[in-house]
Amino acid sequence: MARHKRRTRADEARLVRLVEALRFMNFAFNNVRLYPPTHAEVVGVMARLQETLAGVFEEAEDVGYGFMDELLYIEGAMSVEETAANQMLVDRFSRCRVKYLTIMKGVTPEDLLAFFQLLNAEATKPSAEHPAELLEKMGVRTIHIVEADVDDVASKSKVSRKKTLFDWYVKAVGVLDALRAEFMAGGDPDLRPLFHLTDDMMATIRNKGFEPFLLLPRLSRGLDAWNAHSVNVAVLACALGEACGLNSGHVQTLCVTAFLHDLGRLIIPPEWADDPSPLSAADREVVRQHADWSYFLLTKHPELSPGIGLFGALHHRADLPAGGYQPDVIHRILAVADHYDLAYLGDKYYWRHHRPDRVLRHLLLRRGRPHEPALLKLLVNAVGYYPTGTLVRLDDGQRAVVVRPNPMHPARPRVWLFESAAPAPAEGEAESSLPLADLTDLAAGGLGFARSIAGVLPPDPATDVAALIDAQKEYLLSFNL
Amino acid sequence: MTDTAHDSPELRQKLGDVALLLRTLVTSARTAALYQPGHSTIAQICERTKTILDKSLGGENTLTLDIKAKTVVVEESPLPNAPETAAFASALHTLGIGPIVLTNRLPPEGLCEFFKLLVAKPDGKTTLTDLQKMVQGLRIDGLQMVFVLSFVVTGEQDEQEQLPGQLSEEQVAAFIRSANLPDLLTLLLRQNEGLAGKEAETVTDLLCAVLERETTLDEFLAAMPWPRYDPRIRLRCEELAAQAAREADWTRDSLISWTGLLRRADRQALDSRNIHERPAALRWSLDLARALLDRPASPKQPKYARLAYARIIRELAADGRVPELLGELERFAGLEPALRKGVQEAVTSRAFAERLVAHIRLLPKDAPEAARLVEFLAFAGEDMMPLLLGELAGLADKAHRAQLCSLLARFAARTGTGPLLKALKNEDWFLVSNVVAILQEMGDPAAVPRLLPLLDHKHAKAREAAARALLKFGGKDAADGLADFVARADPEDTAKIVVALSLLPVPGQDARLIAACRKTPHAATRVALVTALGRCPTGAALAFLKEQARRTWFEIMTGRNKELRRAARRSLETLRKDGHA
Repeated sequence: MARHKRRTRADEARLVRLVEALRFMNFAFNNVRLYPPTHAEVVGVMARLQETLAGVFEEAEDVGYGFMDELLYIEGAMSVEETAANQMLVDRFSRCRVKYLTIMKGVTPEDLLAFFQLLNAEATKPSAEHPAELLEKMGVRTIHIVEADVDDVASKSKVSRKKTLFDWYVKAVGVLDALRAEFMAGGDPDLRPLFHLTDDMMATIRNKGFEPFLLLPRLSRGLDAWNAHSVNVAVLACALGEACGLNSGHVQTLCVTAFLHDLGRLIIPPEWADDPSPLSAADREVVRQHADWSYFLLTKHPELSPGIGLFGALHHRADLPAGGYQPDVIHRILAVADHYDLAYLGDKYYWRHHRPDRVLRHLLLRRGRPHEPALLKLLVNAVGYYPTGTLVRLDDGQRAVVVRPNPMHPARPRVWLFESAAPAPAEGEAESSLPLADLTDLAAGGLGFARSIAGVLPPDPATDVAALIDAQKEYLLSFNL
Repeated sequence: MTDTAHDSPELRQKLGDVALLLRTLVTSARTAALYQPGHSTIAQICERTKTILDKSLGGENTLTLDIKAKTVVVEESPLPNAPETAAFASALHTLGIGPIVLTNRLPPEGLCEFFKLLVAKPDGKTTLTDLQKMVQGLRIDGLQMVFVLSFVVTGEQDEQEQLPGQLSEEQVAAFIRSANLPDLLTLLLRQNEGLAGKEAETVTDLLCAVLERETTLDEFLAAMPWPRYDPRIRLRCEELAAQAAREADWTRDSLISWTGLLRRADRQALDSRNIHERPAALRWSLDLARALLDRPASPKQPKYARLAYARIIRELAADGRVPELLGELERFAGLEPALRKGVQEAVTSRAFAERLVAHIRLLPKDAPEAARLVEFLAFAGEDMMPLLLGELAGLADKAHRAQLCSLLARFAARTGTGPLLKALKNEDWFLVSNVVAILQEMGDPAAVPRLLPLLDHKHAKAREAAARALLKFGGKDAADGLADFVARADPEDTAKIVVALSLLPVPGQDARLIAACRKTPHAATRVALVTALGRCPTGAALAFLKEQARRTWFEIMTGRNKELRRAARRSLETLRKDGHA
């Protein structure tokens, strides 16, 4: 159960400033539309907006506003009250394809003016180019826009089907697939689609949470195994990066690196991913080379920082000698996420997915070797001691599938009692929801828990968990679950 | 409540928050009623309302609203009249509900149920009595309702006015049976959060903070008011914590205890968010590229390794990392022409030139590295020269300038003097003087024709530098140019040149000096030239000096040329002493 997070006095003061900045943004939109750029009204409002934000920057590197689902998010938290008070602003930003807005320390009134001029132009006549790119062309480096994809905006039409998280997953795998093909052709592909994807994922995770994303790996059947793995690692890395308190820039580097860290696998025949037979010595040598190839391909690309290539080369190396390169926090997070998702416990088989709960247990029992114990704890608290999608038996004998981790208790997630009858629809309800159980619910009398997990069940040919989840994916992937 | 309390800003703020909450509850209930039950919009509405409820709670666990007919009373203060407040109160009052307690445990699903109450109305099928009975049987987690007709237990627990830790024997026995620490702490939290009072709230905060890993287990154990609890609870806590720390006998529950809570060391590890800076990443990347170039794992790797290597070199150049680049000089030869060109282009930047010039300053005199630098510059190509000259123009330190000039002279000797000669046309006298010095150090006589125009440079220092260089070069062209310059220039520019010119070992010096002497309009220059001719023991010089030594009517009439005559006599005397006249 989500609990009310208490705000300190400093948090309240910060929120007041952020809301004050919203007020000035409203003025800025209007004034830029009505007056020439040098007019005192325009200059004044930009200066006041910048001053207001400067107060926030005394303690933070950047501030973020989200405009999703017609709601306003301030620094990752939804604010219905401010949505109502700033409805016009939310509409304006949404119309200009701004999904998430990050303003960084050092922003100047000139940057803000350029930004609002751009948005006014976009509102009048949408540009064929992405607003974020136009902003970059204008030389504004202190404001970053995460754009709603055009199809996201279009999908608001009542006729079109609402996009789900699974659509995003398929799209993400597709973007990586296209990039891999271009890398394979020997070029330096345009990475903008990947950067858009990363921004979109970061903004969504920051504002709405990462928990529904954790079910996506269970739905990867039929998708390219390597690319799906890269997306899974990126999601997990993003969640861990946020939990570690990294700033936006570092989380972005982390996510881009996660998406691309295994690029070198393009030298490996794709059919190996489905081959259950053990690898020969020569095959193993080829597999080992994938890290080198990741390094070559990532390092030669002019748009990627050299550190990304470095991680591509060293992401499987646990035996780094002292005195030389030592993993930094980005490397350590990625290594944990990669290890968990790939479930690569030996080099006998090229691509053998073990049960996530077993991988987790394996990682925990070797705590500190090679992964840092504190990071392992964050990992367990993100994915749950019984990872999402695990088939479990409860102490009352029922079988269930874990559908959401519990942020306050790693071993008491929310589970789907898939064998139980759905709760009877309430009077007038068209259809019932799924029978879910929160394992932190108390038994009558409050002396213990109503249900607990007795153990993880081995795969059962008669119970295809992936198919079960797939059949109910629209419900299970909802952020409102 | 006193008037002062009524007027307190905190209370006004609270009343405002509650009014907003009631407005939201009523409008949300009406909006939710428009949708089919189970519609996703209802869930969103509930989430929004939950957010506002949390804000209205303002950090408290509970909010008590007293319903009196059409008014709502909060902390003995009635809310201002508003249509939504009246609607809220009327709806609940009609159903026989008196005070209600909203808690922060009220989930969005519970709000959805509560919405139904707010819009419930008797109709043909359901009478008001039916509705009241239905409401009295309703249980909503985290919401307590007190009925004006009878008290009905709703929600999970009644809020009790009791201190934390007041557990029954049954509760203590059940709690210490917990197999892991998160279970025990969750049970304690659930028991405690229904309690009222500051001390109980503090305990709730502590439990929430440790379970959400905002604080560490160590901080939690130190901050808990253990004397309020049965000692067995604390003992069990510590026992489970110790069990989790023992690596040897790990069980499922000890792992859950270990992972569910952070220790002090974990917090320290998470707080140290070191991220490699670009220079370090570049250095390691270069090491890796070298290693892969030296020991490729497959025949195809070297080609790609060189591409990666060239990128790293470009980045190093962009950052002006001179020592690293100098160390790579030998490898540059192994690059394909296209990659070499890429590296050359990367190196040819203002930033790199600036760093290179700064690096030179650190080198001791005659350091062997200077030779490598010349090699490196030769690899970079002559496009590097204008950038380095740009840096030279801004160097104030004389010794540093001399070092750079020396390096540039060696560099130009390898690649040609084209860029240097081009720089002579620059208007900056300082740069021109230094370029002249470089050319002088190189000693290439081909530069003489390009130096001659500098004798007419508008700045005296540049003229002086050019003259000095020409004298150093010597030769007929230089001597002719200098003599010509002496004939037309101001005496202050020419005094030293005349002396030096007379000493140049170039045939025909006497004729040049004589011609200049005849041509110059300046008496002082003529005197200097006549004096200089004293070092030219030729017939023409003697004849000219004799002519100049004669007293003329012009001198007798005007008193002029006296200095010239005397100078000529002194020169003749000198020649005579040397046995030439």
